[in-house]
Formats: sequence, C-alpha cells, structure tokens
Amino acid sequence: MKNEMDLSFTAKIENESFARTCVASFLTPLNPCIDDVVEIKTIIGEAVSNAIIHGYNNDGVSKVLLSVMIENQQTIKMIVQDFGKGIKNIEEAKKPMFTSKKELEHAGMGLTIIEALSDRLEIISTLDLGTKLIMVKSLQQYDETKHD
Amino acid sequence: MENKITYEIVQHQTVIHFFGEVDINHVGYYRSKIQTIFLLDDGDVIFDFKNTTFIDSAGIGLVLGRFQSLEMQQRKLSLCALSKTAYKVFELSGLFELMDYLQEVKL
Repeated sequence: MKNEMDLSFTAKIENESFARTCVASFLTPLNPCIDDVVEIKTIIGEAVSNAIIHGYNNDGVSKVLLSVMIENQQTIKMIVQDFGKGIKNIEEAKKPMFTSKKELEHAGMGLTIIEALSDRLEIISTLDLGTKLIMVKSLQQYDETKHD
Repeated sequence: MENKITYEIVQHQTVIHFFGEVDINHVGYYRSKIQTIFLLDDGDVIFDFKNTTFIDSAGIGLVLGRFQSLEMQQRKLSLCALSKTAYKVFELSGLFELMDYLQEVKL
C-alpha cells in the first residue's frame, strides 16, 4: 500500500500535539502495534517541537510542513520541514544534553531520541534558510498471536 | 484521557501521579504545581507514570529539573511504571543513573 499525506500548520506549540495525533491516525489502516505508534508519535513530537521552538522561536505565524509516506506495508518515511533559523552545527545539536535554550529546562534530548527511535535520520539544514528532517522507520510485523 | 497530576503524601513519602500527556504543552504548569507540592513535606518523592500516555523530551526536562531541585534538599526521587517507549527514552537520557526505577508504587 502506497499512501501519502502533507500537512502545513502554524508554529504554535499547541500544534505539536495535533501533528503527532494526525500522523497516528493516518497510520491506523496499517494496524501498527502500540509500541510503534508511541515511538512514531514521539519522533514526530520531537521533530515538530524543534521546528516550532528552535526553527521559528515559537512565532505563531510561520508554517511547519509535515509529510508522511507509507512506502510499503512496513516502511514509513516522515519529513518535518521549517524555513526558520537553521542549525549552526548539526553534529553538536545531535549530542545528548545539548540545548541552545537552557532557560527552558529542556533536556536537550530531542534529536538523540529521534535518532534512537527511527531507523534512519537525515538532517539538512542551512543557517537562516531552515531545517529539514527526514526520518525512516520500519514497523514491526503485526502479529495478533503476540498481542493477546 | 484528561491531562492532570494528583498527589498523595503517605508516611513521609510524596507520590505524584501523572495522567495523560506529559509534553511540552503541559510541563510549564506541572513544574510550578510540583514545586508547590514539594513544599508540603520534606521526604522522598515518587513520580508515578502508570496513567501517562505520552512523554516527550520536555517531560524528561521536567523530571531532571525536579530531581535537581530535590537533590539540593537531600531528597530522593524515584520513577515508576513507565511505558516501554518512555523507559527507552529515559534510559537513553541517562536518568536511571540518577534515579531509581520501580515497577509499581508500594506504600
């Protein structure tokens, strides 16, 4: 089954929950297991809040783009894109506990979590032009006998 | 599920129960509420995530911040009943090197 969705929403932090819920609904026909759903929601949540908070500084005006592609029954490709600030040093940003906004009491774990929960993470970023995250995740084979 | 926190203080031990989503939309409110609860007793604290449906890195930041604030008063924080994914991201963040993990709340 090939299927695609695109979503565009304003950089307001309350839209983060909307975005991850949307993706979970979109994937429902695949009948994914609960762990996969929670992991994908976590990946989307982290990527989208990065775009809103770091890309656009929570400006409430700019747009975040989200695309999800079901490439086959098991492989999901997710793209989260902003046209904001960009990342100065990608390697540094990927380090656990790195945060550019210490005052927010954030753990600095966003990209580390995305990298750990997805099979592949690609970051394309240019200063003042924006950031694009491409994430690929394979779903576990859903087996009803294991989910009694 | 409603997003909220509740607490109980039993035998000099504070248990805070998290319901629903512990995400970037809620951590600000929870932070001030928890800090107020911390003032009610000076014993150890357990965070119970049994009824939590979602935790993101802001939730991890909330836990780390509260751990540090309790540590300054020589109080211990333990975590309890995380989902499989939440356990994975907490482990990744090194939280279990700082805090104990309990399968369930025993009072």
